[in-house]
Amino acid sequence: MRVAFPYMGNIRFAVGAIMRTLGAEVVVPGPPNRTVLEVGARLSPELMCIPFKLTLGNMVRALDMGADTLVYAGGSWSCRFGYFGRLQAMILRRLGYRFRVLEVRRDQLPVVFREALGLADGRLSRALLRGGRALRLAWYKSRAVDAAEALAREAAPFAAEPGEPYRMLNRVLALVDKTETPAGLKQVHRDLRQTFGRIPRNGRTWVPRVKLVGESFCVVEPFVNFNVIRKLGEMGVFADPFLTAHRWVGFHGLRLWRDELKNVRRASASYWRYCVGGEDQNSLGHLILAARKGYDGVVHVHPFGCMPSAVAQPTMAKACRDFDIPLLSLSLDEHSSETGVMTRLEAFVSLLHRRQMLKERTAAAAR
Amino acid sequence: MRIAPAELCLPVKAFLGHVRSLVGEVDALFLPRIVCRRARKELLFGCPKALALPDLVRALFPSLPQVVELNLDERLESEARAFGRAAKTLGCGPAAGRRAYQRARTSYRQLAPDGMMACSPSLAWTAVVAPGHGRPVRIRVVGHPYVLYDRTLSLGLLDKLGQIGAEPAVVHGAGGWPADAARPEFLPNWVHEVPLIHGALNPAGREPYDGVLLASSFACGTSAVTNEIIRHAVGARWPSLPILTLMLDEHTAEAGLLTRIESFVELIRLRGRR
Repeated sequence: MRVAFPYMGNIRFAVGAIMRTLGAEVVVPGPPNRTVLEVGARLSPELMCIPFKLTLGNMVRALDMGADTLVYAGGSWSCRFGYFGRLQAMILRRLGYRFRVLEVRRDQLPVVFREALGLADGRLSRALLRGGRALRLAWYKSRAVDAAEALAREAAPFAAEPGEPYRMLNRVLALVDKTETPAGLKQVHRDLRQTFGRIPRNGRTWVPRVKLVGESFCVVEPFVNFNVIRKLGEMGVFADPFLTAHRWVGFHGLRLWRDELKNVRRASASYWRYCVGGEDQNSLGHLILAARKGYDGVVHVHPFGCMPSAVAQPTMAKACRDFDIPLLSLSLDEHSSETGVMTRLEAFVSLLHRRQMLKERTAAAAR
Repeated sequence: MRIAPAELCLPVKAFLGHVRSLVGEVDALFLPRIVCRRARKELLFGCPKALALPDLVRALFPSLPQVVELNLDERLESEARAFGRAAKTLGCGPAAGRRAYQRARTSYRQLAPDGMMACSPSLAWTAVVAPGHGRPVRIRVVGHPYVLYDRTLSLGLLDKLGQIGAEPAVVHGAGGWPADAARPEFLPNWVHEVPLIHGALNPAGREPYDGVLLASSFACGTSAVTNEIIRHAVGARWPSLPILTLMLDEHTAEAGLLTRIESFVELIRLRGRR
């Protein structure tokens, strides 16, 4: 079985580890690029969102590389995300590709289990052992990646050489990719602080702190958001995403951190009654919690045409007015340009610095 | 249009304009929220935009009269209990709320015995097909009733089809799939989309049709999925059946709309489907 799954940021470390340990051969089509996006956009219904278009382009590439099984997360609820797998399969089969689809959704779990059993030659004990090993390895890989990403984000605004933290991150990710034992990954994790601590600093004492919220794919996949976290870091801003690849797998795959979820939903309850999808409630809740913690601004990234994001935008704007925190909203599709995004980010960062300056002047005058 | 974010669909923009005209004129606003309905063993969800309308209204309008929300979520409680809660917001006791709900159900059943989505379009609109064009070209029109039957939002699409000698048929269906129907690849679990797919693909008991017209609002996310399912199923079952997709938004011009539907109907006539 040669499996491929949608490319979304660094989830490939955890998901790839699970598939390989269960016995499948994993086809990773490589990070997305302009060509992949154009192929996906051409084959997709025009008003589907950019996560659909980009992952469709990736799946075409994976099938061309020899994948015979496509794995998707799915479900049936208000947002379209749950139907991505079925819709993409319909489009790809119409193009003439032959493959199987494995959808990880509630009513398909017996099918997924049977496939895992098939990979273990029908032996239940072998399947269960592999399953346990798969989850354990995936967890340590994902945790190490998450810790490295966090350290790169923290170091970026303070680095003397702006690109160095992310070059360091790439080296660490390559090491995590090669390391196939939990013990090895624990060692990589332990060494991270020392690794990133060696990056020379620029002497800054204060940097603006910005919370990044929005639809999960746009927050987690750097190609779609034009590497907004890295760009803000290189502009001297600490950008803190509410969601990372590891947290996405934890929240949605393994249903972890339920207390945090309750807390976030309680924070957003007076503004947003129901979760409609697209991380609407979570984004709003994290925005409010960030405002309460004294963050200096919020950047909201979402796909053009994303139904939950479109309808949540006025509510986010209201919450930002109520909490007096600046909001930059970026709507992303295949026509978005890096220059346009950079212009907006630069103006936003300039606004944050100005607000800080006015705050300091007011405080000095009060003294 | 001025109030709403640009990415919202036409019906929601119209809704917000309507709310604006009512604020200051009324004592209370009734805002329903269709979250989830049970259809036999399936759960059908509302569109994400419709699901969040009360929250959207609260965000966009700084001062509102009393908002009476009706949250229909049949995963949590029955329709009757949901109506009871809404009645309580209006200050009605449980008995009065129950009586009002029963009267509403009786009126609804008299108007639409098989449910609103399956009721005859003639309740909302009467087809007038202009004479002098020979046998009318029968077009199966697929779109949400709240757009199609609104002459402003749809720019009188159904009337225009009649004027050019086409007979539009708006069909919302339910139930199974007879042998002569086109089968969809899958059915999304959306309350407003399942009847559209049934109606588009299921000709059983009805006159055969000559073409399909998919009329959607720009930025309607559910239509992007529904229309693709319909196109795929129609293409597989009736490969030579023409399909036209129309996008409706606040910028749509009547002339452009008329040009497209005239060309479509003319194409069908030329292909000898008269």
